[in-house]
Amino acid sequence: MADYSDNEILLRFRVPATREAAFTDLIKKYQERLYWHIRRMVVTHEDSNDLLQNVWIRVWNGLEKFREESQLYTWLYRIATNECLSFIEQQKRKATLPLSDEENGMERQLKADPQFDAQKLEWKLQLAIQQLPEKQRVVFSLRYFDEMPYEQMSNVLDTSEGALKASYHHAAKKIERFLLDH
Amino acid sequence: MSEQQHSNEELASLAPGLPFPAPAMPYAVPAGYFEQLAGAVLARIHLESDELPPVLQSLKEKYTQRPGWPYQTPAGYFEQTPAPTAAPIIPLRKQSFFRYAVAAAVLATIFGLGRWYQQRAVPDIETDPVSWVRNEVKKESSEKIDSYIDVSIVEATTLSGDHKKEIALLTKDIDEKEILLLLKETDLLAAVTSEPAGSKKILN
Repeated sequence: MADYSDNEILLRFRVPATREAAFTDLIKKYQERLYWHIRRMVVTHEDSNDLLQNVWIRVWNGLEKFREESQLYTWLYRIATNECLSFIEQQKRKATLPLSDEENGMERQLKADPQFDAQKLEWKLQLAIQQLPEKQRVVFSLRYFDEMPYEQMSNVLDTSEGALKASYHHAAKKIERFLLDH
Repeated sequence: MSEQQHSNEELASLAPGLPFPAPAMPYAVPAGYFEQLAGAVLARIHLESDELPPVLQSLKEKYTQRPGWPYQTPAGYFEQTPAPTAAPIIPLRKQSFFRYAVAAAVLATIFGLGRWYQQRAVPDIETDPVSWVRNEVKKESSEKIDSYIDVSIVEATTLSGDHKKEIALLTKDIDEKEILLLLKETDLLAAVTSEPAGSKKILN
């Protein structure tokens, strides 16, 4: 696969004859990053796959009108994050359980994974992330795993950089404490 | 300084207990998932949208450029075909009026024929004597009928021998003047006086 820049992909997408090929290149370029971003939020592969497909369909419908003043990948993250937060909100409403119980539900799903090993640091870390409120979880995930600059996070989450920094600091402290305690 | 270095320094000062760089994701992904994702997404897009698959789309474009494609017509076919003449348009309202008029004429004819037949039929004296009499009376002149009525009245007042005795018995004690007065009041005197001479015996 040729490694196209975002601009080249956008130009090819606007030509009907190369639209689908350009879209396929876009998916291949960003699919793994978006998948892991979603999976860290919703834990199971099935939910992550559904949400990721929804994200790409939204991208297909909106890419023609995409404003190039924002970066393509921050726009993709924004769609994926909104999709995750809507999904978590729906799950909460369906469960009609208090917030703490819902978070325990995510924890249960994590522990139900056949690969789960409570002794391994990577699993402990995922368990610690599930203890965070969902918006703090997004902030921590974007900064810690994707190393996204605060400026871009601000575009993705529509929040000021200062608020994002504060949120990340809180989240990092909580997770460190969890890892030390468990 | 790269973003990775920034992030590393930030984390080192914030939470030194956190591993950096981030450890690998422990979750498993089904084999071949990322290879098939683009195809699955495009299949869903085709399914959910009204867009035609590329093959059908290109055929549609050809058809738009050349209507009737792939069929062909003989050269100059559409130039030779005479323009069709417009068929006369019959307004619906006029047509329904015509229908009503025909129906009314048929009904009037049936009704008229019925009446004519009814008038023409001669009533039977056995089954309908009243109509028979009316029919017979119509045939005679009014003068003949009047003279018949006069004669009938006179005949009706001319009594037979048995009745004479009975009347004489009934009027035995009544004064003749009173009888004449009654006859005058009922206009029967003129009829009695104009009858033949033999009939005056009623009063005696």
